[in-house]
Amino acid sequence: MTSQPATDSAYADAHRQLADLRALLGRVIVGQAELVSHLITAVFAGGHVLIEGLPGLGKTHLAKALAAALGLHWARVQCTPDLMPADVTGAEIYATAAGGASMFEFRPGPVFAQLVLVDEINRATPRTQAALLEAMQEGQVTHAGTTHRLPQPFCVVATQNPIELEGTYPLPEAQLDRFMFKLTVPFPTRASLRDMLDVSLDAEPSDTLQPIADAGAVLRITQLCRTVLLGERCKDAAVDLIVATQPDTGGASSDARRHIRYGASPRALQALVRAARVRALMAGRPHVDVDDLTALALPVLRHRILLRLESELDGHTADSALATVIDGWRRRL
Amino acid sequence: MPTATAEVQTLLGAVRRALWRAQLRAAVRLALWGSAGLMLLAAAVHLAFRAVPPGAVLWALGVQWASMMVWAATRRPADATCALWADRHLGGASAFTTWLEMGPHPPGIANAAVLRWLDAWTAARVPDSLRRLAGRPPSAHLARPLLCMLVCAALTTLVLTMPSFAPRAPRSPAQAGAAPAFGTADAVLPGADVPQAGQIVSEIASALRAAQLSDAPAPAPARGRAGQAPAAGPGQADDGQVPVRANAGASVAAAPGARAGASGPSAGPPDDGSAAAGTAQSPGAGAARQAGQSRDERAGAGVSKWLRGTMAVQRPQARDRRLSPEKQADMDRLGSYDDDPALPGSGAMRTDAAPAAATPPPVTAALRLSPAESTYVQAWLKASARNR
Repeated sequence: MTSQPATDSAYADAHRQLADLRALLGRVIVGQAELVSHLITAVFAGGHVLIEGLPGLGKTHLAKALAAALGLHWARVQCTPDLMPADVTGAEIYATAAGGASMFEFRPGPVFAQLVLVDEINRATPRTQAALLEAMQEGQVTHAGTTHRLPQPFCVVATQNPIELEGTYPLPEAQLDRFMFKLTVPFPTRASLRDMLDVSLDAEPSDTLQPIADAGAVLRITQLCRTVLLGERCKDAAVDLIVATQPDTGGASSDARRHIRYGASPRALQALVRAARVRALMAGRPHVDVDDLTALALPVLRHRILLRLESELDGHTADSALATVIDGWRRRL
Repeated sequence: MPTATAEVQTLLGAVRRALWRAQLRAAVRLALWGSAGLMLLAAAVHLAFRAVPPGAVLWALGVQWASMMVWAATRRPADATCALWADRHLGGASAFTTWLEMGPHPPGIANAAVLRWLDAWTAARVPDSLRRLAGRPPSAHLARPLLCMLVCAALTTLVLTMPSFAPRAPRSPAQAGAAPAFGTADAVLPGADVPQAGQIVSEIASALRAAQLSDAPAPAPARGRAGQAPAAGPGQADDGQVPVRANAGASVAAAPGARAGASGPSAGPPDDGSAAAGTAQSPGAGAARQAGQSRDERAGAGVSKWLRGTMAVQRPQARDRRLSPEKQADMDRLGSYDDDPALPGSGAMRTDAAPAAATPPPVTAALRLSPAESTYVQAWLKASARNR
């Protein structure tokens, strides 16, 4: 899609649509406002999301509601150890045409959807994961020498379960880097649980959700987000944050040196700034603020760092290590 | 250029003034704390090391305040600084810094709509930011440092008006060696080398001396050797200033068997209460000098050398007594000599004038001997006559 000059009202419309989408999903997904906001941000930033949470917290429901609200064509892949790459990307089948001629025909897999829900991605074999992640990165699938472009917008929402790890294949760090966000689904509060009984006790609200946007609107807003202004101060702040996670650089904090073995990649910097632009537009601002970077730092960085073994044995997690790094970075601003 | 220039410049100007005021308050606060510390330092130096003139303290305070004020006045906050401060503290959310950066449209901005949006957004933000700016409390509180500075100023003023308690400089070895010759009182008088203190001590010593002279017989045993301990060895005679009672008893006690210089018809004016009676010579003192003819070195007995001037009243009297040979008769020799070169005719034998017989001093109540003392003296005189 080519970049076209936006009109003055385009930003206001985009802001309004984003606000409406967030409000709509907030009514369906009760008590997960931040999770919904991050998910919307990732979709409009052109990224993919890995959602981690215990069973029954509404991960699949959230993905379905998002697709329904955006009016996107969505598909679901339930990953199992015997899932083959062709089951995800598609395969050629021998088909007979109407005229009687027989030929191999490419049958697209579920990855050829605008929003793909990959459920329990860590149960697929590394070979299948690699095929999926290649499609996520390149936005295309090559089969039998033929390249097939994936539809736009294209977003993968993968889920994984942090427990029951027997028979699973954890994603390698290099492949985790392809996800813009890694979101964790917290347990709802008591009030949210009561609200759930009123909202989703007898029916799935996502099944009856009326779309408020379409793929064109999603692409248009995505293009608008790329024009959101990024000041020099915010650029420096974003770079400082990424450098702060690198234990071998001069800008690393003492906490980073103590806990982190490998820091965030330059791809994390790009993802952070792109997501910050979307968040700024959602907030109705034409420019990125440091608060946007701060709010998005944890979901962008938590799956992109590797902790030291000693820190893991001491009970530290990526979130706890990053929290100290982000605090120190914010104080230096 | 964005159209919100006037609004944003108004905000930046207000922020600049606020930052300037904050700088000034910070400088005043720092200067107050610094003044308090400086005054405490001056007071400590005044008490511990040396006297500090108040003018020097005032000069240092003036320099400090002037430097702080100049520092605060010359640091004009830049536009970027004001915008950054407004973003951080006035809810700007990085809008003002971004607005400043995007002022001249950079070539990378293809879409001007977002700049117009930024312009409108920033202009709409200015009133709220100005309201927040007006409602901000002052950044630096001056009450505590001001109170501290006032307390320190009062304390320092009080201390500087007091004399310095700094210890004297250590005495030179020459001064330390000469100290015993002037008596022990010299060592215990603080600031004896200070003229003012010496004058005070002189007056006190004069008063004490006058009191001692008025009732001379009473403290005689202690006075007789005071201040002359190193020089008062056996055989050294006392001069006529020592009362009879004191010298008689002391000589006998110190050198039993010594010849009494005043037991015979030694001369002495009747009115001279400090006749040479009682001076003794030890048996080994072959070069014994005539009693009452040795140089009077007891003028400053027990008093600092600075007090000698106060003894000028007594010294001429003693010299007069020494000048008259009739008052200082020798019991053993007809002639007498004076070894004092300052005296006329000293060192020369004077055989022309026969010594007058010693006249007992007038008996007064103060000089009256106790019965035991009288018995002892009579026995001693008899023994001396037998030996002779």
